Amino acid sequence: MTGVFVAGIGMTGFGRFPGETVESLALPACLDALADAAVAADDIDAVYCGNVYGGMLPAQRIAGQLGLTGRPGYNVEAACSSSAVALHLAVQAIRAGQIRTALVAGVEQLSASGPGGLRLNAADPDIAQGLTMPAAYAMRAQAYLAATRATLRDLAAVAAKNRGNGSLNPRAQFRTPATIDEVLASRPIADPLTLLQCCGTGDGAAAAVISRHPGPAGRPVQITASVATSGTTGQHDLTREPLTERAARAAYAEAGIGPADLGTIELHDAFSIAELLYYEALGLCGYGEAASLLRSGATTRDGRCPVNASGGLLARGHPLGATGIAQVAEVTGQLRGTAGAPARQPRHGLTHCTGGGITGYDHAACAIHILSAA
Amino acid sequence: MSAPGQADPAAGRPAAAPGPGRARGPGPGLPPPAPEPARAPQPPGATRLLPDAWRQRGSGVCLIATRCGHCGTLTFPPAAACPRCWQRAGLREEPLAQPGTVAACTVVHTPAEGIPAPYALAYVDFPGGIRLCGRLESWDDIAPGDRVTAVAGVLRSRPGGDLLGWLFRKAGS
Repeated sequence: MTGVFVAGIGMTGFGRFPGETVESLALPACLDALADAAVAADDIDAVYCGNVYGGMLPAQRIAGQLGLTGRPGYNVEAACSSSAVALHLAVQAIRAGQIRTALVAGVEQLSASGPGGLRLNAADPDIAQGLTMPAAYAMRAQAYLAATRATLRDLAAVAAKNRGNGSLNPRAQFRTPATIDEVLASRPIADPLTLLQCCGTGDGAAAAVISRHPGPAGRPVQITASVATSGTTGQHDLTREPLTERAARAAYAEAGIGPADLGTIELHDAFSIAELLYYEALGLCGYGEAASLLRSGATTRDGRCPVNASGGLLARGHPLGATGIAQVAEVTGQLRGTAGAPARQPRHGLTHCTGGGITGYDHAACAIHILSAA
Repeated sequence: MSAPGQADPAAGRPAAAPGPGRARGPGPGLPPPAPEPARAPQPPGATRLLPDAWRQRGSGVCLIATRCGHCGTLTFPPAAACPRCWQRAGLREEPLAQPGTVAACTVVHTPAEGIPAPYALAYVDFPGGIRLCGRLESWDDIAPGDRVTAVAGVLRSRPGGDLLGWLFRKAGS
């Protein structure tokens, strides 16, 4: 199978930038990725864009500002995993020999829709009943706390860890650290989740050039697994994440590694409980053991396998369409040993996004990538 | 949703008109529809969430699923085609067996459009593998494992007309 490399990466800072546009946010991230990969316009065979709320044809709008017209532009909407699914499609096309090099962008401007939570589909029956994303995760948290020995302080410790990591990341939207007590004392959103256990809404963009060619980086980064799949409907065990479990199994098989080989992970900590559930679903520990793994320090920035060293969704921020590629940019930087990355230079890293918010599903979409230093 | 003073756009529409999406009949055990279903006492402009999926009986609500006559799969809300075997004919309406069981619940502290905070939500499981997300009428003494039944209520209060549907109430209370 053709090897696929992350040849170049670029990313804006995340924050609230109501004066920008989808195009003006995406442009610097794309230019940085193109420069990092040292490619010319003729090298780019296709443009992919992950975006949720930015209107029609963002891939073409961005391509038009980069002189990348006259070639395929693909627009991918998969809620919070939009640009991760876009990356998956680009990887598939390169592996199949249809294209050699692609620009994959993720962009979102949530400040354009004003303050408050996400505008979910008002016609969805669960949303009409009043379901919000925090409420959906809060019910998982209630179920998980009842079924395991995890405590409210463990939930808050996830947020404290990731806020601490975000304070070291100049691109993070939230750079003020918070203690466990401060997390617990922040205002209640949906019991047991408090404000600092919920990712904020924001704006930003990230881009990657992926290619059959490794690019000029001293330590090339290869995409050794690319999995995208959908969830299932019905009565799920709320204390487990079967969608992520299934995607992770497929990704490990594709990369020929296991969870113990991972040296860094950027996972979908949209809410504090999510990180604990995903430790287990990704196979980092057994069922009910996530709080012990967190307390052991293994997932801190200096631990054996840092999780969300960037600050994750909780601190780096979560402009939906941008998150998938932002995770890839973060892990690629760590694999390359870029300044500012955790001291330990990993050999393999994993990125993980889910996308939800519709009736019946556990989550609607999930994408996992494994990146390996070549 | 209609603006204040405008007629409900659904009012002139024939109820349950036969068509590609409505090739199903009432199944056994289902209460016959009232001569004029819950539309009559409804305030002007009000809309019903999933109007085919519930019928009011006193203060109680009968939640209506469809069962596939071919493979037996139960689907809520009522489906135009079976999601398992894709049959479009032979889907029979069937009431969800109440009470349901609370799988998880939470109190939400942020108001939503037409929903003052705090309010409570639950996932409620019914026999046949159906899980519904719905609002709890009150939540002081509700916990996972509790039995709840559906009652009629206002889901969202809106100037252009309320959104009507069902709330869950602890069984026996």
